[in-house]
Amino acid sequence: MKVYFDGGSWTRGLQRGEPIKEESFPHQFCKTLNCDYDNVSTKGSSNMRVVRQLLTEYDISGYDLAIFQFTQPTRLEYVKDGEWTSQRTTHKNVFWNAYYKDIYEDLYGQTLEKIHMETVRNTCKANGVPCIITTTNQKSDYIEYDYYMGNSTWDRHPRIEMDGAHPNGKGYRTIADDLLKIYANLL
Amino acid sequence: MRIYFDGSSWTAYKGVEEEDSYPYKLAKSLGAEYDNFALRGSSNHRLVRNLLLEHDVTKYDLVILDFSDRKRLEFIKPDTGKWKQVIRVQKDYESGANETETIILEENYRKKKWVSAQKYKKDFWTDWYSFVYTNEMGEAHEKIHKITCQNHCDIHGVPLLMTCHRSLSRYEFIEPTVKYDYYLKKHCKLDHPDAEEHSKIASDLEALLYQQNKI
Repeated sequence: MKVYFDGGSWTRGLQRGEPIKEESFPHQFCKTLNCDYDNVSTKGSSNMRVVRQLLTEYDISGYDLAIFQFTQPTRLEYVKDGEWTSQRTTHKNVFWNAYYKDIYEDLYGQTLEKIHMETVRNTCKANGVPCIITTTNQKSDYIEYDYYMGNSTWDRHPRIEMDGAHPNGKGYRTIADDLLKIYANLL
Repeated sequence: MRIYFDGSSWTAYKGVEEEDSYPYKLAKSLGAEYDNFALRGSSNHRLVRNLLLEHDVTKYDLVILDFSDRKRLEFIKPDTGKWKQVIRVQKDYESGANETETIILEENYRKKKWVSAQKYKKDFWTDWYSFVYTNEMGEAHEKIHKITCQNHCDIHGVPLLMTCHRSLSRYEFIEPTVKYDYYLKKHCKLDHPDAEEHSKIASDLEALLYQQNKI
C-alpha cells in the first residue's frame, strides 16, 4: 500500500519553522499502517499548487490512498524566474497589495476553492483512488471537508496540541489518529 | 437527447444568427435539445466554473466545450459582484462584449516598470500579463482545465467532446499545448466563422461524434 500526501506546512510536519519528518502526521499515519508514502507537500503551498501537482506532476493511479491538506484560498502560485512560486497575503510588494485590495474578493476565493476541491475529488475518483480532503483554513464553512485541522483556538478541533503556529509531535499524532479513523470508515 | 455547449465567441455565434450557428445546426441534425452557455470573450476558467459549479452535467447526454485562449482569465468585479472575463489584446481590437474586461496592450507590452499603487485599478491587468503571467503558467492551466473537464464528465458518465478555436488568431497564433478532439478554425477564413463555415463545423462534429461512439 502507498499513500500520496500533499498540502502545506502542516503536511510537511513543520514545528517551529523546521520539518520533523518522524513526527509529521503523514509519517505517523503510514507507520501505523506499515505502508509506504510520498509526501509532496511544501511550506506555504496553495490549493492551486495541490491541483497542479495532482493533475500534471504525479500519477495518482499509482497510489492506494490520497490525503490532501487545503489552505487559505487567498494564496495563489505563478512562475517566477522559472520556478513555481506561492503568493500569500503577507507581502510588501505594491502589485500584490493591489491584487488583494482591488481584485481579490472572498467570493472569488471561495469559488476557486470549491473548483479545486471538486477537481481533486473527481481526479481521484476517475483513477479509482480513495481520498481524504482536509483543510487548515478556519473560514471554510462554505465547503464540507472530510476533516478540519485546527489550532487550540479553533473550536472544531481543540484537541490538537500546538507549539506556535503549528502542531507539536503530539498534535500531529492526534491528526494522524483522526485520519486513521476516517480511513477505516472508507474501507 | 440534450446537449451542453459552452465556449466563447465562436460558440456564442458572433456575427451570425443563432439558426446559423453550429450548436443549433448540430442539435437540429441530431434531433436534440441544447443549452448554449457560451459567452463572447469567455475564458477557460469560466468554462470550468460553469461545468463544475454552475450547471448539473447529469442533465445532459453530451457535452461540447470550445476552449479559448489560455491567457484569458476571470475575476469578480467588486462594484457589481459579477464575474468578468479578462482578455488581453492589442491596440486595435474591439471586443464588444459587455461581460469582458478588455486589456489593451502596447505591441511589446509595457516596459518592465511597476506603476504606483493608485494606478493599479486601471493598469493592474496590464501588469499581470507583463509580470505575473508566463507561458509556462498558461500551459499548465490549459492542461489542468482540460483534465478537470474530462474527469468531471467521465465520473458522471457524460460523453465529452473538446474543441479549441485558437483564439486571437488575427493577432497572434497560440498553439494549444494539449490535444483537442477538434479544431474549430479548420474551415474559418476570417476571425469568426460565417454561416457556411458554421455548417461545416456542425457536419464535422457530427461525424466525429459517431466516429468516437459518443452518440
